[in-house]
Amino acid sequence: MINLKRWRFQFIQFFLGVIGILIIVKIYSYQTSPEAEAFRIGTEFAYTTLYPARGDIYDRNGNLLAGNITVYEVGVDLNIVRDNNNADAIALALSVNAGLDYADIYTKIIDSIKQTDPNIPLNYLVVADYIPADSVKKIRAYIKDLANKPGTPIESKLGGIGFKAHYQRFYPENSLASNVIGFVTLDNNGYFGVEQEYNNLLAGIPTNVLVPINPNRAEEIPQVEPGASLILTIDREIQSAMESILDKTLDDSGSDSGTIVVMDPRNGEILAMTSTPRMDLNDYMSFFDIIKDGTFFNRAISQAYEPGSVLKILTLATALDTGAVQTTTTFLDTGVIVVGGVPLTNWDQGAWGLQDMLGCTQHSLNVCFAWIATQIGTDNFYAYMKKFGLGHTTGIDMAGEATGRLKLPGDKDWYKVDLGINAFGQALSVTPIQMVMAASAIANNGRMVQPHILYATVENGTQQNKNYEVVGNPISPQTAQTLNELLAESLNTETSLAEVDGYRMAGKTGTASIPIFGGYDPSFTNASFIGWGPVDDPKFMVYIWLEKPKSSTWSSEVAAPVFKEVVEKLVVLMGIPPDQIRLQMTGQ
Amino acid sequence: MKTISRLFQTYIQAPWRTQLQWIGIFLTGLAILIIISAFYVNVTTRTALAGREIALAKDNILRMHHDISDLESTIASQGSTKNMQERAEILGFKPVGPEEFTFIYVPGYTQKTAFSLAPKAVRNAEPILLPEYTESLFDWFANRGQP
Repeated sequence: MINLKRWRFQFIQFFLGVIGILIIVKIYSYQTSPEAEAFRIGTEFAYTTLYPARGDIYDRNGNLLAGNITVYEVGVDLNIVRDNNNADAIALALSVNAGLDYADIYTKIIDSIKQTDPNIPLNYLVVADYIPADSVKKIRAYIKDLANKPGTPIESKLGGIGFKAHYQRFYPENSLASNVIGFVTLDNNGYFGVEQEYNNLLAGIPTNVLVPINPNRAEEIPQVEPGASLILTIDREIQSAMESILDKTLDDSGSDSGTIVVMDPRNGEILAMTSTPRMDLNDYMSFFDIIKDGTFFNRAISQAYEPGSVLKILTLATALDTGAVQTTTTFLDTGVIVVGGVPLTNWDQGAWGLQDMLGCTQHSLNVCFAWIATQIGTDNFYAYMKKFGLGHTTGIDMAGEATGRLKLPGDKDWYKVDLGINAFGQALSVTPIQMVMAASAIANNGRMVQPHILYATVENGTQQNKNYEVVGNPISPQTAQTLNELLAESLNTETSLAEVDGYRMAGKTGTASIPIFGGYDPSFTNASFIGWGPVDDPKFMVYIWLEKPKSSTWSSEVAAPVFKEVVEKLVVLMGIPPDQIRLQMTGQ
Repeated sequence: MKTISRLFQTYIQAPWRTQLQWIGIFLTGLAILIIISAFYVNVTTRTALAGREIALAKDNILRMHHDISDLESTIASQGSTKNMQERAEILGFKPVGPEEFTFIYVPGYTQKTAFSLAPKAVRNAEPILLPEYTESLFDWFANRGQP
């Protein structure tokens, strides 16, 4: 009896032992099989692309100028589509809900299914990208409807379709400040303006990463930092007003193009900058229709031209600073002066008689200014022009700045007569932004500030404000103050169309001949105006350039009224009281 | 040797007592193993759940970033200069000219300050999380020893 029991126990022990060993062996074989390894890799990590957000761009008051919206990449798992035989349903759903081409999508899916190996676990095909969120919402609702509908054959369902969200650049203001901002293409690269200049800072670079699926490794899920956001010095309201004024001016004057720049001369902050043409940044493909035939994206920084008499303020600044003339110095204008063997005449071919420096400036006498240049001397004149930054980029933080051209003694194409011609702004070329930077020295007590568009960067939760830079002191504070007064007096007494009631401004007109092959265009001019104010405490500097105006060729008639209109807007938008009230307030 | 012979003798005389002892020892070991395994499974499960929650939270953060961007863009679009001007015109407003302004002196009033989207960057800033929330027990002991 005892032996029988022992035998039974021993048998059961042996049997269970064998079963246990077999289970352990099987578990081990499962764990070490190639399928288990593939499964492990598939469940441990997923290969994916992370699309970080491109940094936002704001104006100086926090209004969004460039942001991001969510769009979707639509893809299909070809294995599922093959098994479900629903390529037709997917193509139809995308066609109806997202406006995509049915035949395109259907062919793409079918061709890809034929070309792929069904044994590969994942065959993913991107069928469409940059699909708006609204369309994806419709497709998802459609999928849900089908799922809830009993009896729907699997061929009609949208099994295997997938959506991956990512960002696309969006410009809520459309064309506002488009010359300044630039645009971003689908490859997330910035072109022109701030988008190009700060592309590396703004761009969150799409990154291919292995994302751990194992929840125990959740901490290892990679996070891609978004790009830095930028706050610009631009004021949206001022920018909008300047664009409206420019558009109206072009209509009224029949000018080919126009440019307006508004800068704070105290620190170089660009408050507004616009030129024509502008484009809707959300429709960047229109670039090739709008910006063509050598047109510049932003004339204010990229197109150099002969500015004409606005440059006389630099000539006079040089003369006063070197002591070549005083404001009381007189010049007898006989209507012609010979410089380098070439006779130079006034804009009206007339002789204006005895004039002091105020008279020369008021009447914009070329002969007088050519004489002033000869008094300054060649070396001094060009040394000062270089100190004012002519012939060099200003270094403004926008892509595509041009240098302009300042011929210098010793250059093959420089002649002695150029000294006289350059003195009244011909035979050299500058960009509007170069003129604004140079003139900032006059408005700002001799300190020339670098124009800039970036106010601050916001990165990793902190804001870094940009400090302004004084890039030179080409003239003394005394010279700047003297010239300021002279230009204010000149504007008040001569250029009446630029005057603004209650506000004392300084400024200068410029009517320039346009060089053509073999000489100058007899029919058209470039009309420019530079001005700033209030004279005793300048808060803005305005540069206006109208290309080939038709209503009048004279700046005093076509550009000066624009300056008045601009200032009338600026004093309201910037809250600048009339001089009398402002001085009373300062006294209090 | 004496002990072994005594055990052997005992086994011969009452084998069930020794077997019970072995079974008891085995079951005790098994119980301990089960308890340890249960703890292990419990901790692993909670870790996995926490990991899953972290992954979901990160997904939610990403989704919220997308939502925030979309909402910001929508708001900016609706409040764009063009839209605001149109709305103002519909409501009967018109642009004001400099001659229509009345300036009054308000003691103590300062003009609006520069826009700030985030706090300014400060060098050598204090960490936001205190060490108590990040240091290990060993770190805490080690730090206590320092002056």
